[in-house]
Amino acid sequence: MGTQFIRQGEARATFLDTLSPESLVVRSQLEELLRVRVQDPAATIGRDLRFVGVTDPITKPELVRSEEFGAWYFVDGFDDPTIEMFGGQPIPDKIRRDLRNLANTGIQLDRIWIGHEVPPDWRDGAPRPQLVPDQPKIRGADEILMKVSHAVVRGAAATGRGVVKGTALTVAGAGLVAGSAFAAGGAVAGLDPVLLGGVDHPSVPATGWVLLAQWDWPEE
Amino acid sequence: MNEPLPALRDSLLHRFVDESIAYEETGAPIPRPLLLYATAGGAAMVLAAFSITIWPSPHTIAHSGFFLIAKAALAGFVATLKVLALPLALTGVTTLAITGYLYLRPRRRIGWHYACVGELVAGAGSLGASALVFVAIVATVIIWMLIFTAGLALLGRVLIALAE
Repeated sequence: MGTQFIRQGEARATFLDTLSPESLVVRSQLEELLRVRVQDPAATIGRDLRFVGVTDPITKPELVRSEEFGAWYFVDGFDDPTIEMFGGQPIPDKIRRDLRNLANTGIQLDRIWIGHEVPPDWRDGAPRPQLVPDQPKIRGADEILMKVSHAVVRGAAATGRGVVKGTALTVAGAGLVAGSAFAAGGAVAGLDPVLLGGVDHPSVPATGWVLLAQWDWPEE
Repeated sequence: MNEPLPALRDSLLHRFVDESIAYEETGAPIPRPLLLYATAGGAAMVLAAFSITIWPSPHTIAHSGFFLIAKAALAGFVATLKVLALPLALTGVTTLAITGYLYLRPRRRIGWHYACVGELVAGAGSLGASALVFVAIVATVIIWMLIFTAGLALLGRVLIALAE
């Protein structure tokens, strides 16, 4: 979904071109600034950083919707809620290496924002959706651990039925209820993000953006 | 790999990458059922430790006339359990406290997931071991009831025979 959103030209107008159409001069100046400060250095390592639009300065998280591209939650890359949850912005290792190489070219950004795809029916203020999915291998390990746990509880319940019948049934019942909740939770998958780099116009409140990276979280 | 010039190390993108973490190292939250099982395991350890303290002493088992079979083995087993009761209680309380901490401050490393299962297995095992003593007592009571019933039946037959 994230890939589609950026690759289609309409997305520029839909999502990121919030600057008035009269500001064509500002737009061209920002495009030139982006070329010199970001795109040309990136090109030295063969990276083509696509220009994605010009916006008024974004100062707070924004929820942007489109019928075609769904709902996206844009937030400053240093204030992303996932940072608190994980102790840092979680990024696939390969993308991190690419970003480090990109940084080493000397590109100069004023802003880094991340756009999280969110469920279409999500409303700001509602419980936050799972923006980063659990790793598939850990989900697999958890499934095995749950089976082991269920077996232990079932075994304890069966063994102890005649001894501590009430207790065993209570534990087994709790396990059954909890198991259902786990199955429902396991279906939750993270939604794909995009990483944007912005350069501010030196004299006008406007920011030009390029796409730094995008990735798909692993499926289950 | 192209090494950056020193002045470029402090760029915004460098800072962003430096402050990020590899997704592959993020782990996953402990599933709620595992936490519940861990809690049950910790509670089972405490319950087992408590139950061990109320079982008859090994000396009583070995020298009383109540236990009829495998007295020595049962006495030895209970002696071992009595030695383990205090460490088991401490372990149970500690693991319960740690599990409570995991509810409040979720941890994501896979090791914690395994620890929860370990707590459940330890709890089930210790409670099972303690329950064996209870089973032995119940089995002995049943044997005594059978003996008593058989004795009564025999006495009845004798009395009937004498009456005839």
